Amino acid sequence: MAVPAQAPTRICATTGDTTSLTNEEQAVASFLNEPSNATFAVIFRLYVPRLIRYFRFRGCSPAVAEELAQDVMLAVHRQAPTLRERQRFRAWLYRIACNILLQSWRKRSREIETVEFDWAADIAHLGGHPLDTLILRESMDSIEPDEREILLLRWVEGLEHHEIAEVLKLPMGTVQWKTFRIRKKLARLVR
Amino acid sequence: MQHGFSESDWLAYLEGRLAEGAAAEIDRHVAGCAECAQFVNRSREWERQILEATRKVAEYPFATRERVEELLLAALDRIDMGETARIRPSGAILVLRRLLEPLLGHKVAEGFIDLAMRRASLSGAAELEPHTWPLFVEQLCLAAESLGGANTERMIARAGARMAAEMI
Repeated sequence: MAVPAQAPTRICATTGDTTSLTNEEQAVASFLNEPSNATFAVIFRLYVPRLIRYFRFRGCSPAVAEELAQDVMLAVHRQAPTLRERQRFRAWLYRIACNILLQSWRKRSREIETVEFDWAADIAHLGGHPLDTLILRESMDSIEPDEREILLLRWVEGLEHHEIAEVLKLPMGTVQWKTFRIRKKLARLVR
Repeated sequence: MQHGFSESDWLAYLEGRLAEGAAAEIDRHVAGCAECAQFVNRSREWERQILEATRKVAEYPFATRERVEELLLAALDRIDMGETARIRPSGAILVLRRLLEPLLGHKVAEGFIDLAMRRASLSGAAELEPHTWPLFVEQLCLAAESLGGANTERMIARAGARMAAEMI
């Protein structure tokens, strides 16, 4: 099958992702308004690297992360007709990713009561020199698992508080309270 | 460390979302409070460092452009092959209800399903999430076995497992 031509991209100044927020919103709107292979291909290229990163940060091997990222995008393709509000897209996408990750853990461990996110050792060196990501490693090691997930969604994935609340199915006040608690704990890491 | 301000005000202040007047009030407090000044400075410095670290992580090639194209081709093939008919927990519950009703009666089947849903729903939500489906089936199997015997339990377990494989 022929793959639709690649859309022009540019580097986002705040997240480093290869598109601006406006382009991202436009791509999502195009896909939701007219789901097709062409519009799907654009959002696939946009989100799959982020989804792979999402799963790698939660302890998945590269192969598993790729497989789960693909599953998320197939779910997005299937369920697109049910989502009409494009401003909820990112929260919806990460909610699907979260569900798929939990299903995957469930298959592997047969336990769902306690969700313990793994902090894979190889992630620690992704930034190039280990010192570059030292603060990230120290931060992750200094907080509780539920706080770690908020930290990742907020500062790695760049989600807003209301989006995190939707992904984790928590009240927004709880997310904000936990975010403040994270900041209080981690400010101590800075000397 | 709150010093008369709420946590939500502090968070909004640090994130630059606080209204001008309220922000100026915290500014004045911070100017005269060494403890809060240290917290604000450290928190902002921590955020600067964490954003720098995550920017470097974002630059890491988690998937090369070529690999993403390969994955896209595979995904489009899967779509073309019709991997679209997946099931939601609400639909799957209806299937199990139809299996149980002839054996246990309408009211008992409904009661068992409600009980299993309550036990499986970690957040107490009325809707099941796909990841809680296996726990729901497990609970329903226990209930089904108590009244319908081992054969009923096996039937529910098999049907539940089949639907779990198709569930998103």
